[in-house]
Amino acid sequence: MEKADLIPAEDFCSHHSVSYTFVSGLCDAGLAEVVTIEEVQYIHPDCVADLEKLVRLHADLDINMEGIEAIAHLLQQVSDLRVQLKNMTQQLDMYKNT
Amino acid sequence: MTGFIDYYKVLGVDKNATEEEIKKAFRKLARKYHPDLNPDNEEAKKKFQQINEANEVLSDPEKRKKYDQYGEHWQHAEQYEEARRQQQQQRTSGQGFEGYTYSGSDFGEGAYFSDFFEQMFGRKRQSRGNVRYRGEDYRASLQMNLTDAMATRKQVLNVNGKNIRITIPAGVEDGQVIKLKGYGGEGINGGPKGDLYITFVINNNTPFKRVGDDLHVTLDLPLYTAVLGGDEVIETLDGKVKLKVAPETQNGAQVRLKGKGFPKYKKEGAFGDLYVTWNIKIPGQLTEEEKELFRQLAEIKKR
Repeated sequence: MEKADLIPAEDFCSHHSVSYTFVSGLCDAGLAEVVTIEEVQYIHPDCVADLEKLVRLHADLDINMEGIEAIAHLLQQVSDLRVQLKNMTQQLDMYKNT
Repeated sequence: MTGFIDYYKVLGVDKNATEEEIKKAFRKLARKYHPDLNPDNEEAKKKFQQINEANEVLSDPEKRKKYDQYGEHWQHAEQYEEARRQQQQQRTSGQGFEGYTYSGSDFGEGAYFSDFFEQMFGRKRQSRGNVRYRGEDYRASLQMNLTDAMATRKQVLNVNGKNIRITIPAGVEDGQVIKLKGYGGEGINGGPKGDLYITFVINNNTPFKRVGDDLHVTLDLPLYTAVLGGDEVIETLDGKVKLKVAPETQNGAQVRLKGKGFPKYKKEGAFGDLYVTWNIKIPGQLTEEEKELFRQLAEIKKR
């Protein structure tokens, strides 16, 4: 990935009115990733949507870092369960009308 | 007909609620219905839009004032305004009504404020108070038949007036979402464009049940073929196949036809399997002769 394609973390933070400490806290919790090039932090464009979601939870719903961490894990579990449910539904469907 | 919306009721607050109480009520409901916390839940999304709209009005003193002033008589707001303006002009107070502006632009997917809101306050994009860096993600669904998902195909989609030519790989699944990077809304302040997410809705127009890449079908098998064995010609998705039926095949027995299932997604030339479950048909309307022969068979079994 070219450096030009990366989004400077500073720009991201100012556009979303969040501090870099918040983004770095998400990174510490394993919920976000920043790339450091020549001591400047950047965000990969593919990570922006997920990061924005976490920022919305923080800004819109006033949820703190610990809460965001818990929610992120629960959302992952919901997503996994949905995949499982879909597979089970498909298998159950096999026995319908036979 | 656009109906009046009781924003106080939507947020569950009293008409005299303070700004702090409104904020608290909004956040409490938003934590329950926020789309980020309720992925793919249309009901929650709708509810959140209502809550967000109520908050947009009640948390803004100007809007709240106008809303409180006209309430259920909102449809006459313009007439009242006009009359008031004239009265004020007569009194030479010179103070006109402010805060009623139309943005005049069509926000497409972003325009999810009610008609009531838009008629009273003008068109408005959802506001979170923050400028978004990345363009909005668009979501669309595409319906197709299962037989159409058997081969890779190109299709032209019209998204927000723009024609997009996409390639749909063979083996796409019902409910599967594919992301087309950069086909969403324009970025703000030079930010990247959003993405387009297409959800496939696949209508099964075949007698086969699809489980992943495998296909399952239950077929009738004549009793005599099941007992004595023989050949059965069956339909698969890519034509007829002659199947050997082993003698003494039991009811519910399953046969696997390797590679006769559905194409594997993004694995060219690879296919799942087809599972045939035999449903043995007991002959009906037996003649006296047939019944006699079955009796003889039963007798033989008793020996």
